[in-house]
Amino acid sequence: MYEAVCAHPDGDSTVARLAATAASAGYDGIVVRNWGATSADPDAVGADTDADVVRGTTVSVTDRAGASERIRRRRENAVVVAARASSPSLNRFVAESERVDVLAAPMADGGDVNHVIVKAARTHGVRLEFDFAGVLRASGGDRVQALRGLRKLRELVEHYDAPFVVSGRPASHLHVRSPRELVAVGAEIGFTDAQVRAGLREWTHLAARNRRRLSAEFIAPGVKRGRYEEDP
Amino acid sequence: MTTITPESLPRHELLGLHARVAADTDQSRVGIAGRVVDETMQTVVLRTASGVAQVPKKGATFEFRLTDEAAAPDNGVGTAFKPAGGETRQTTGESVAYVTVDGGRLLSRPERRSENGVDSKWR
Repeated sequence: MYEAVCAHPDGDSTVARLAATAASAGYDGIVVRNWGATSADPDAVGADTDADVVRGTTVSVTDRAGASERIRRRRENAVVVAARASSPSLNRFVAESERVDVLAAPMADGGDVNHVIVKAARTHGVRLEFDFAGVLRASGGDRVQALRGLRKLRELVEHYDAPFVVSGRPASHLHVRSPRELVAVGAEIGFTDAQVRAGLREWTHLAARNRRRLSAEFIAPGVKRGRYEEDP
Repeated sequence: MTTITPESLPRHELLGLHARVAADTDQSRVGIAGRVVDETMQTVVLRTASGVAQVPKKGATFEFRLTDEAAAPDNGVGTAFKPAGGETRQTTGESVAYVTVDGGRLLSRPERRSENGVDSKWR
């Protein structure tokens, strides 16, 4: 199970600190999902710590015209690409972009989802994110809105069997919650144990799949350079 | 002749290439190896040491061997991979390239297969 974190300068903690905290909380690794560059190279940090550090990125989608090109360029360097849109119509654009792995926090900042977006995400293999940040760290009306958003998203995802990921979106090592804590919070707000765990495992699957695709041996799905190797 | 590269192989003519069945849902087909002598929409026909074997593409994983034409002494420099012959053909280690292809990727009439576009990595 992996956690998707915001490291310095987007967050308050360094990649190394987040990796160490996540490892002690029971995660196998972290996905660094900064908007831009991190102050430390995730690959270098990953070599020094127990936890696996995955180079990720978050693309801000504010207009269709520039977003496609930005996604294409980020795709070359990042193992996991998340995209955050600022309106329902842009959420749909992201859900239809096959280069994107995760539609991050689709309900936040005036965003919304509907059956069209969820079905598009399923067709194009874009994971919808259940962002627990609002539940864990907001209060009052903000938390009520976050809960309402999560419930709507969960009902749609369950109905259409769409792929999803779960994250607490920690921006500091103090925000990191262990898998069993997220499962417990999830149980309170209507998620099943299996759903939360599957959502956390999906990051692992994404990282492994994309690393395989970015490797020099990979040509296209089902075609690779080199001799046949038995899957472990 | 068009050059054959690991990238172009799924859209390329397969006849004449050396192939080996690396994995198959039917275990008895694993290990069949030889030159491709015919191809249909659903099968690949390999000439093996003991005869001709028709292998369904679906469920099989093929390992194709390409050899570098430049490795042969009578060829000039700058040529890309060309079909490798049988086991007897002399090749140097560095000039051989292997491509592993899921048989499902080849499920198409041979002449239509060449018309497939280049897939994005992310589709």
